Amino acid sequence: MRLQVKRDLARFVAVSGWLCLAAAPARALPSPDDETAGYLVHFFSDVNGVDVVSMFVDYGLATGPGLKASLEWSHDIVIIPAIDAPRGSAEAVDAITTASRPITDADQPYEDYIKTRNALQGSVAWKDVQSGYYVSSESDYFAQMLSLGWDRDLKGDNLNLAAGLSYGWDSIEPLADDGATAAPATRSTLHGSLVATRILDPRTTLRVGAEFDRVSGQQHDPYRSVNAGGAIVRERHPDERLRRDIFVRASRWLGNRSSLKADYRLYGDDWDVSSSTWGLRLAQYVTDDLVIAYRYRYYTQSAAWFYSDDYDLTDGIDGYRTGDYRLGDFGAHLFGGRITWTPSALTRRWNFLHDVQVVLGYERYFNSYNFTASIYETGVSVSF
Amino acid sequence: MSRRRALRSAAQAALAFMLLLVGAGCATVRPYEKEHLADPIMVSAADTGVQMREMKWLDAREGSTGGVGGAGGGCACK
Repeated sequence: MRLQVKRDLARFVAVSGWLCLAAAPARALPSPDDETAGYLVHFFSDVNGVDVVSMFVDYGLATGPGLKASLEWSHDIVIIPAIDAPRGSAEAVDAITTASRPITDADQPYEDYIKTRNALQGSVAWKDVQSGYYVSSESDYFAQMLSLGWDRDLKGDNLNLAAGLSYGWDSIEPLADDGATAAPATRSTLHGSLVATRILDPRTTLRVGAEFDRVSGQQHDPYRSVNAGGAIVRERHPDERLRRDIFVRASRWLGNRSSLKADYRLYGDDWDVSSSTWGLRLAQYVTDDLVIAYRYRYYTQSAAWFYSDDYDLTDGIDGYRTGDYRLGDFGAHLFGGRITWTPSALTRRWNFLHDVQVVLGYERYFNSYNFTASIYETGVSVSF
Repeated sequence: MSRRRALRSAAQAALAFMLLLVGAGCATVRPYEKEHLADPIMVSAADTGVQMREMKWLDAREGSTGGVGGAGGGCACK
């Protein structure tokens, strides 16, 4: 079953990619730089056997002076492996806690759990203002978001200020799980950001910013259980969370046709989770058409106030309990590489093509819970 | 003072310094001097798509990443 799904996915990915490539030259084209199109595939595979295939198709259009529009469609297929234990057994509960999946009927533990998600995001920008709408749908989750942004160049285009605001509202309708169905719920997110980018000298830029989020509504997983006070009970998180972060990024052009980007992010919220993230990216031209980029990221966070490895009471801590390791104290490393090939021979041959890029990337992620994952990326983008 | 708190204070001081640096009137770079800054491997906007896709899966692995709304997948994707 799983092998068959993977074969079908591979066929779908291959056919879609070739359709995208084949369709591009056939397009009736206006002036150069008016249109862009891209196709990307991500494949995520972790140590628990969870696979996620994500496909992204985007299209952008500049229809007049200062007016731009873009559309992106993404399609995710999530495959969570079979548990191979009877529904309701301790092994099944442990597996659910790890993999966070529902078991609707008695046969389902012995089958892979597969779910799909489709998302569409559109945005329109006119001069300094941008607005957008996002919608995503899956079997138990429906999300929508409206966004508004503004940015302006100042000081002779040496300083850029940008501000953004978005509001998202989600509808959660859990599937039947282990003979019970959790009640439908909602969640809303208000997000704001302020970013300043400054050119310091002909080789260096500096970007600093701050973000805040107010999340209201259900924030726990309706399928995940936790062992508390000797009983297996559903996890429960507070309904309100206030999150904020500040970040800085410095980009420096190096002498040998390479660039170095260093960034840092400091995060804190009212669940007492605080985190620091450091990142380094080095990009190097190998030839005029080929760029190789390396990156490293280190992440560390503290635990939420209601997180515990061992709850003494069924009620957890002040009525809240979690089986989510993401709310614990841990650190994570991510490293990887990415090759970007810009075949200039194609753009010379077909002069209606302004730019073609082919990307290939690999990243490895691991954290202090012995969780590891591999992330593969491949895709092509074309501008006309 | 704990090590974590000291680290956070140092980071906040560094960020405040950076903010001052951004707001202050550094030497103006003229358009003809921006050749390297406009190179694709320097432009931050080129990383935006990569970061958004990365945030999508990191959101499901870390407690403080993502979560800015519009990510969907609150249930079995995580």
